[in-house]
Amino acid sequence: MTDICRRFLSIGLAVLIFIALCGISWAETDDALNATMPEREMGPQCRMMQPHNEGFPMGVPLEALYSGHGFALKGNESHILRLKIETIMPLQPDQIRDLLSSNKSPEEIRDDIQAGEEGEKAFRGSMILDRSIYPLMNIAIGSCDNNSTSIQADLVDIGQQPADSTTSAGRLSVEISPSDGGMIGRGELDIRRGQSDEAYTILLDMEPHRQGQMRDEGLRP
Amino acid sequence: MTFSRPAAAALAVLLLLTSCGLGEGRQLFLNVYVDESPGKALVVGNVDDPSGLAFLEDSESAHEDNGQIYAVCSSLVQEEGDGWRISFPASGRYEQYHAVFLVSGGFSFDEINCSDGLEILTTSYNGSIILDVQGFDLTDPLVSFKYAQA
Repeated sequence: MTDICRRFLSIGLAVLIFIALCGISWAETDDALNATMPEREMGPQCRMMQPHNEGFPMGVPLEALYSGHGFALKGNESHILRLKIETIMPLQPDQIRDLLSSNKSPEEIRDDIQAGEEGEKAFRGSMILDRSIYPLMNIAIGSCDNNSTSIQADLVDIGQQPADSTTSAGRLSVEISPSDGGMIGRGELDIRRGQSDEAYTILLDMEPHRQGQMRDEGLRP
Repeated sequence: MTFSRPAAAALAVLLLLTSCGLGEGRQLFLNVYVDESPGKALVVGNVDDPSGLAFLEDSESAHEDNGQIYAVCSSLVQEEGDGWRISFPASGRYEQYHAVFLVSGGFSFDEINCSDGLEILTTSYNGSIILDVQGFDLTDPLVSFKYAQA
């Protein structure tokens, strides 16, 4: 009986994923959960790096560190989800203004950028849920004993303007681990959508990191 | 959060199958900075293959260092009516695309047009207006927007 239930569950989830991939979604917002967002804590087996980029991160993009696509699931809802963490070289807009007005050559600009922020590379991340972009802040990446990586971040409240004063619209927690020859991200997402706080389980297929582009050995845990 | 083992396996296989059909595309991560004396833009970031960025050929000067691009371009920004327009084309297929446009000097967005598959986010930061454009598995993505003095 248990096997039959598990089989039905597997088939149901497979159909759900297939329909979502075809671009059809029956997801409707349920009534407000009115649940407070729980604090996420890493297990004792994980080693966390200090969060980078308090607030809206500004900087020169270097590469994608982690990227994945999948779903946020809650009850019979499925929502298409993308997650991406990039490495950046921090650079403030006023520094760019100075560079633009200086009439320097691109080589000189490169030298100025690299000399000014050497060794201070940081993270920039975002999540796309149902075609809405949510920038990430307070991104913390840690390594776990079981060859897994954990990512925790707060979601920037995109309704808050300007972005200088950032407030959180939720929190994301993902553990990336090997699975069937690939990398799968599993985790939880708490997000304020409209007037309600929603809690989702998330499942992501993580894309392999491009070899030969890693310039930030100090960042990857 | 728990998945039964068969359910998790089914989800994992499905996700892997969907990614198998995507193939290998380019990646583009660029910032485009425009200051208050419009007409000149600084493009910095990383692309796998800069050949899809025709504006680099028209740029005043560009430097590419192992995929990292530093270019000063005047062809990206054109005067239009009472404002300015930036057109940012990229040819080819892009597995990942993330372009951030930062315009300083007290401007506001008038009109934003992006090709299908691109998601946008506008915000402001420290006196600059920002257009964040992201997409995945795109062919010939194009971003075009107009901005004017606020």
